[in-house]
Amino acid sequence: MAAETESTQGFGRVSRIRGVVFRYVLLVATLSALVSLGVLLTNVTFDAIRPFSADPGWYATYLVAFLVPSVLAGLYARNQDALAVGVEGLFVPIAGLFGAGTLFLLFEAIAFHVWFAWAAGIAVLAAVYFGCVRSGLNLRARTIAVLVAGWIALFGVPVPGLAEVPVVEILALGIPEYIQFHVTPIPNRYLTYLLTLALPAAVYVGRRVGRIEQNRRSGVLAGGLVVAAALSVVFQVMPPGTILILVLTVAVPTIYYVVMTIRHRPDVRVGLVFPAVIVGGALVGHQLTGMFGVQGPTAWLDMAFLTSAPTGVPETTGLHPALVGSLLLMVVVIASAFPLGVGAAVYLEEYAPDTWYTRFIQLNISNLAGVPSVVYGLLGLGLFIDLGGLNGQTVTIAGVTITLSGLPTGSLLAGGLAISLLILPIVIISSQEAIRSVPDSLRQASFGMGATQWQTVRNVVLPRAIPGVLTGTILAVGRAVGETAPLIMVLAADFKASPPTSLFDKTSALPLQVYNWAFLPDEAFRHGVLAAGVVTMVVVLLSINSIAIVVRNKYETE
Amino acid sequence: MSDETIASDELASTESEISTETDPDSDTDTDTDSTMVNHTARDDERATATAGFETDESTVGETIIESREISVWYDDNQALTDITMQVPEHGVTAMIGPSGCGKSTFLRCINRMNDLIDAARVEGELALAGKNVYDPDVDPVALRRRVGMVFQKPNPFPKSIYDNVAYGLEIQGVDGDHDEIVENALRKAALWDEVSDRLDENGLELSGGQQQRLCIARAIAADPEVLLMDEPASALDPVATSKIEDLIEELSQEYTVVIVTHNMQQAARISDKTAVFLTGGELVEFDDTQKIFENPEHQRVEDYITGKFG
Repeated sequence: MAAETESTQGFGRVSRIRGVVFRYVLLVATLSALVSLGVLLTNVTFDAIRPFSADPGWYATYLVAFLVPSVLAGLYARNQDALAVGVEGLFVPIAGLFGAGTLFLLFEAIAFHVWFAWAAGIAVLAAVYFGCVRSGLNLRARTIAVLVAGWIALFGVPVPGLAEVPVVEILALGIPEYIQFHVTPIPNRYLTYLLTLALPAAVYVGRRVGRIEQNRRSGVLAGGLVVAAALSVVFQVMPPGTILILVLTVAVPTIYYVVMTIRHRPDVRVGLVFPAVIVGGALVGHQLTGMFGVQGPTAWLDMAFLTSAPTGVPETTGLHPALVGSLLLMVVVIASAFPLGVGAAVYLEEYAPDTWYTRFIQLNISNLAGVPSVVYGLLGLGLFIDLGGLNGQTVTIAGVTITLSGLPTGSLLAGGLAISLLILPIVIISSQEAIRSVPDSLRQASFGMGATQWQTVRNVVLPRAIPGVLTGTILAVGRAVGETAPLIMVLAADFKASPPTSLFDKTSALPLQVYNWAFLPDEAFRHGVLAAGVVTMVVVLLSINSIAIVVRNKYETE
Repeated sequence: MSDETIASDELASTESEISTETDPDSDTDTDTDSTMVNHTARDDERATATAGFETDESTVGETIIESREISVWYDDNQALTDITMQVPEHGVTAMIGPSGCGKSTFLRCINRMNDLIDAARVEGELALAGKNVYDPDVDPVALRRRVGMVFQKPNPFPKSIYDNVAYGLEIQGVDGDHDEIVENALRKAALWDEVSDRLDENGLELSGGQQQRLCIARAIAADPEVLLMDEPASALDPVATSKIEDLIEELSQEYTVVIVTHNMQQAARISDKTAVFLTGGELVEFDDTQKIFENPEHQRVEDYITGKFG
């Protein structure tokens, strides 16, 4: 636009009206989506928590015991860095609680003796691996040794007659099966967790502390403290297995964080006051409200809601099986989509020649990311359950007749695989982007040293790309958790009162449960319980996304 | 990894062949420029001992790299035209010329890094220690293990300093005391004193000049025969550049260094032989550095060196 010269003196002025209008249109466009979603989520949260159902005394108590001290502590630790440390310090125990919850749900699906048996098998495998590394075997011998020993340790070799001999039968059965069915004194829940969780955690903390302090003794001391903490819980009132997990996921990381901050970052350690006051205030508030007998809000979303099975009564219903189901679906999705997706991405970026057919494949992967999810549901149904129409048919190969059978309808494995198909293109594309962002100069350096393609991929490309790959995969898994359409097709939407205990069990999932509640005639279901389910799901999603953020930040600072 | 040592076994047997193959008449069909270059180069090699100036510098020995009519195309664009030259063992051979004249392309022909570019096509022969590296039985990976390369921009891996230097040893499965080899390489690269107490630190935390010396240490740790350097100092400040130059002079006692540079003063300072590439991917003149800079045969070379163009 031409300058509108106001006078012949000076430089005049240039109009910026269009630019300013454009800028604010952009701002409105940015905010409109956020605001509308924010309003919805606030509404839903109000429905789920029902904050106005609490006594005024309850609010007064928390105001005095919790809010005011927290704000004061925040003001006291005004320093930006200190406050950041404070928020981080608050984040550690909260993340620990989430981790504890996840472990509880997992251990509900996996019986502890099964867990113990497999952990023992894997421990033998790890021992073989480290033994090979120590003894300086070359790569080929090491790979063979680990594969052979691993197979024997985990699955055994079916030699006829061997299974009859008392001790050698462990070779025939594999360690997990041997322990599960032949060792009578299976450790109890507490001992299992002590051996499989507390010991590795102690070793990890010990090594880490030892490295940071550059002092072997502090490392041993730290590891010893973890073991001591794990042992001490035997004398508690709660079931020791439960409290052991809490100690490991909440207490140990928190204490580690606090001690390390105090020792190594003296300038910002004042920030720790902030989370301490918040946690302390919450505990004091809880005590006081109990003492005064004031009622908190009668929320739909409470502990009972998370730990009970769905019933026909709004007040007693819960989404526990759906929570476990969703978690296990996630495990299946990660186990199947991650290796396939990353493998495809590495192939396309590092190996595939640039020809018309690789470009065609590339184009189609991009398009697959946009295919409606219900189509993937149909694919899952047709592929995994119906086997493309072959389900139930008999095939004769080399004289052996087999009846083909697809996965059971509604099974955990079928649902998980269907969602894996859905997120596979997203995983591939985000991994490709991460791999592409590895500077070409590093590949050149590696090739220039005489590295093969495989050595370059393994030593240079993958280590550098893995943070991006992980972030992309975690975000894709987050999307998978909320995905409803494929689950409706594959899992069939009905109530399941108990969580699945095997891959072939019928399972429920969070979005399915929420979907069900939305159509029940009872008003309380449609407003209260539904809202509680939605809030649970959003919290799960946000925590998955925050894992992605933590992973990214961790690697960026390194 | 054992199959990648084939090339080295063949070298001894083909050593004798090279002398018979390089008869001067082989370039009769090329343009007069390169024929002349060929002759002068050879004559001067014999004459270096008595040539006069800087005899202590001219430790040039037998020919180790010999290219015969190497041409390179990127798709349909010809980047190099019939390059024929002989790089003597030990000493520093510099390649100078304006941008896009193909000097880096030639450098990347020596260790077949051009293979990594889909569009590149190489014709002609290039013998390293008597063996044509473009023979069908040559494994480019095995070849690159005997040729170190340092790039324009320092490109250490995002690993510890130690792991950076030990990278070649790891991937090539070199036996022996890696700690000792790493220390030696870092000493040779004049970096040991600066990093000996922080080998665990990430290589990216070093300064630009240190990073480039780390890359040189990485390249020489695996004990290559030839060290290729593609404008190794162009991304560095003058102080770091002079350190790298001193280092190159040191290294030339032990290794054959082929260096591409934009900086003519640098070529004059550190090299024993200089090849001048000019636009169109031709090698215009290849001779002793002193000769090139003081009394070049070609007017174009003189114009380029005196800054009349380029």
